[in-house]
Amino acid sequence: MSDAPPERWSDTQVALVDLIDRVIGGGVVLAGDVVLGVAGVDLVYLGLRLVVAPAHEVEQSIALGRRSA
Amino acid sequence: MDETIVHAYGIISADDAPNQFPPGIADTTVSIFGVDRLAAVVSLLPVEGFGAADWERNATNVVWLERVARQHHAVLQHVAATTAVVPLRLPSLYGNLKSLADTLRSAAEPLERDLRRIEGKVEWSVKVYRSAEAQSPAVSAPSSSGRDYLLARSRDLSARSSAQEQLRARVREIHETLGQICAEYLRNQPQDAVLSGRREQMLLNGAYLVGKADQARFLELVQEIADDSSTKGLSVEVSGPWPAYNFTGEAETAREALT
Repeated sequence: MSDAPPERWSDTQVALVDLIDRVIGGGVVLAGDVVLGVAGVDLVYLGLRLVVAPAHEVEQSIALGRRSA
Repeated sequence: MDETIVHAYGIISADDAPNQFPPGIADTTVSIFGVDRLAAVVSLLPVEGFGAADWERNATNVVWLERVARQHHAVLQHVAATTAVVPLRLPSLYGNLKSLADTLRSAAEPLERDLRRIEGKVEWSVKVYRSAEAQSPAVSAPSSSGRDYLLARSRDLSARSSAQEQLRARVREIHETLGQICAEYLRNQPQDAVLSGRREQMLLNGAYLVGKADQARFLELVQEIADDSSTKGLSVEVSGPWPAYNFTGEAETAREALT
């Protein structure tokens, strides 16, 4: 386990998988006038998953049980 | 700059606005756009390159997406260090500031509720894995007959499933213990092994909303749990502080579903 002291806000320690999890799995959707199609948003989420793992593995894991984004 | 589109990173209280920001997406200047009692942390992106069509076109462009996600997060991380901020989920685009203002006004009430909810608090993440040595299967002595073999195998299986049940109970206990010093806490789905790149089974993917003054105590408690002998077979990892991604807006429904 890492000894991260409180109040360290550096971005360098952030594991990409944790970041992706939060950026697309958390936060608030505040829909404005510029909206991506539903397919577009799904593609972005799939793409962000691809950021951390090769395409064929992501497709496989999605087929096995997709986490709701 | 040519035609622009508004990207919003997060929402803060208008009287809480920091005055300095790191560069935003595409190295644009980040600023504050106040609407009544709320303010959005925004930057103006070139439509050419960051419009809805570009998002759709780049939807599987991992280099582009990673850069955008990191810049989005870096701005939120900076703001969250001093100010309660409701993080917005990517992509968060508005045609112009007027449209953003309209959106903010129509959602002012839930946003102010979210801000009160996370005021003075930050999010920490604690993950518990089943460590590699705990995963090796039990080995039985060689069996002399088929019947012996089946008996031994059934003993192995039940020993393994009761060991698994004990680990799960211990993990629930860890989560509840940490929760005692949190304003709120919740369990997310374990991260997919493919995405995390970890071979060990993730047993806990917990998020904890901790008062800023309680952070040192929270981390001490995590350390105690990690050192505790009853945590044998488990490995504990902590990260944070994070902006309160898990304790704003829609996360609320996810939490209710799990409790």
